[in-house]
Amino acid sequence: MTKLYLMTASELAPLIEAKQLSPVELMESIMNQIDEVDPEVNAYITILEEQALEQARHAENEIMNDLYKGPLHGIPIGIKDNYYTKGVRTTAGSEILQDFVPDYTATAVKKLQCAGGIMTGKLNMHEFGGGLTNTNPFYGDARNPWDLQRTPGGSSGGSSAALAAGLSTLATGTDTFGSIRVPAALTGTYGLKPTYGLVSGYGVAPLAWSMDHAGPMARSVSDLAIMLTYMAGYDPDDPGSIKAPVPEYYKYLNKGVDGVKIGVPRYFVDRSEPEVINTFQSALETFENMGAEVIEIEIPKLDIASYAGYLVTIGEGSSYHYNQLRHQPEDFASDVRIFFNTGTLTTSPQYVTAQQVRRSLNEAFQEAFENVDIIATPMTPYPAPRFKEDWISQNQEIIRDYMPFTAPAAATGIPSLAIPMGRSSEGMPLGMQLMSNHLTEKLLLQVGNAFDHYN
Amino acid sequence: MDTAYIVPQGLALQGIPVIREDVPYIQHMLNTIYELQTAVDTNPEIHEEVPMVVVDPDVIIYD
Repeated sequence: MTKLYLMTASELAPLIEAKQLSPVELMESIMNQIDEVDPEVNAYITILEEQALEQARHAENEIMNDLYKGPLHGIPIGIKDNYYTKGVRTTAGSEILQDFVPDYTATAVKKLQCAGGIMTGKLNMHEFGGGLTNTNPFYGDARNPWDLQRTPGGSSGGSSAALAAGLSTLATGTDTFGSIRVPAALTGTYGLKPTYGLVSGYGVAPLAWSMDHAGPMARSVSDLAIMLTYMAGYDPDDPGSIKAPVPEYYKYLNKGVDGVKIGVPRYFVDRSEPEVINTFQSALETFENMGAEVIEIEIPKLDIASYAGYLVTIGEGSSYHYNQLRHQPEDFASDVRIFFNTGTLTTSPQYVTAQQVRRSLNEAFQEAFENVDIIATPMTPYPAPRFKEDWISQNQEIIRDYMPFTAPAAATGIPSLAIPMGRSSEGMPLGMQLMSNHLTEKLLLQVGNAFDHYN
Repeated sequence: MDTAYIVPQGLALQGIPVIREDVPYIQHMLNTIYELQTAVDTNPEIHEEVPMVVVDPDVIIYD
């Protein structure tokens, strides 16, 4: 039988509801695994063992008194450390915020907690979200559980590492230019960047307001669907929040892919390493075997997406941190200071052009979605690399190489799902990206779930 | 473009302390952006688009 700390919420919830499994037993299993493994993986910045166990006992009492709340009740959830948590230190991976204790909780976290989810602690991340490697000179690098010498991806690297090592059942992430999807792909876990504004960003430390997305990370598509059901919804405190219906996504997962049209732009395949291409081709054959129609398509202007990804992120990011850059630049990690300082040297016309690129790109995707339901690509062009001594250059290289894959969905605000599709010759996970039109998460999760169950 | 000159001058003009070790990395990143800009320059019609803004109902389709 799978160990408790590796089971999915979808597997655990029925046991908890039927009173066959205590949330206390589950939380103890997770905490024991954290004690054993986290000193090497370093997924957590703050571990909340006592608080989590106390809440697990509370959940157990509620459930024993027939007050079961639903599939998140009693489920351990790691929270990325850029989500504000009332009374619990929130660093955003930065020394600058090492003593910051918020007096309110981010809306998305509050929603998960109201549904019965229990916070296990605050997860490691690339400082302020400014990188894809999760090197962190202040709290230590998060490491890939598949090979501790490799990056777990970033910026939500603590989230992906925790999920891959069984240090939490679910986790939150944020994604501005790939920070949910890249870590998921590099660790064999799952991540969803939802439609822009579907999940509230209120109480999440910003990187770039107009491209920041909060979203779920997990060990299955069905778990992402459970999380999204409870995280999503209009929030008047977030100016970017949208008023859109929120279905119970996890109840619509088993419709299969029969008749679904999947478009595959060559652009992404041409930028991938051969073993990634081979694994991706096998994944497409799987979709065809399941009844989907796979079509090669061309989306114009994909080559300008990275420009928008860079300019918007460093432009808005440097604006948010401008005062600190001028007065205490040495307080940033070197790679993140360089990232934001580059933003101070870009121009207003460049920033506005980037926002024009986004609209143009959105139009191109809308045209594509007139002919296909889903767009499939490799999630990254190569698997998790080993940490290099020059970690600043490495972060820049990975951003440059991965940005063409992550920026299109980030810039257009369409949902994008990262799911495992196989392993490299060295045994490292390889991920696939599935994108769909705005607010079609129900279909996207359905397609992802079909692939998940076929394999 | 002579980014070696632009980087320290541009930072200093804004009152941002120049950390010498950072300069080559900033140059490298600016060069990456300049390379990407060439693709944008081949699509001049982009400059006629209305830019997206932070709160923009057009970002999504309500259906």
